[in-house]
Amino acid sequence: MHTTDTTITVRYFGLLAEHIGIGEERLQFPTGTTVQQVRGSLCERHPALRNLKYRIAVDTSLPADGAIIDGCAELALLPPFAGG
Amino acid sequence: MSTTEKTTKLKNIFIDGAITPERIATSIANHQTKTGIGAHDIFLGQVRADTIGTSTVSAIDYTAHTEMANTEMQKIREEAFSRFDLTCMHVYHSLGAVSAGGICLFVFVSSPHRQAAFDACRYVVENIKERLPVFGKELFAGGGHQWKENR
Repeated sequence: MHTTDTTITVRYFGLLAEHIGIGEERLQFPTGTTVQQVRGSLCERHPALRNLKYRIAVDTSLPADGAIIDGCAELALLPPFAGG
Repeated sequence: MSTTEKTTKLKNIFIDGAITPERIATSIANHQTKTGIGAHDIFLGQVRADTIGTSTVSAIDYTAHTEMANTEMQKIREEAFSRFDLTCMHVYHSLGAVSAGGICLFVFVSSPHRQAAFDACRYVVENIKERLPVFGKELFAGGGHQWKENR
């Protein structure tokens, strides 16, 4: 069976962008990748993420860790909220 | 086309910099023609000059995932209208730097009667704090910063 990679924009917000040094990048993920697997591969790519608290938004929602990201346009790593 | 007309356009709650008292006053004045309203409730969030150790916060620089925040705000708005007897509701949040003492959040709800206005205002503010992906960099007076986190 052959899996295809999809290129997805990954955005980093707030202190995450500060620690990683970039606001966004384009990365390839294989078909069937879950939110949990995204977390793992981003932690390998950016070790600073290991000690930081964040949630992963898929487009404009916050799915469970087991959700598959296929078909999304964008991922966003969100540190703790501070609105208001 | 009827389907296009039905699509609610996402409102943008964000404005650059502090929310001015003039904007708030104008918003109040705009409701004087809506005579079914008997009660307004307004919440204003103000940037506090917190002291952390020897540093004092001079401003908060706000950033946000604006598409997601506006989408989530639309959900909060729909929830508020279904839970409370509201006539209308307006929300503004700052982006960029707001100095200590400046207004960074303006929530304005209106209803025929006070109880719904009180309840809706609290509901909306609490949900904004918890659910909107907004980030605040607290800038210290003598340089340096820390990232704010809602409790």
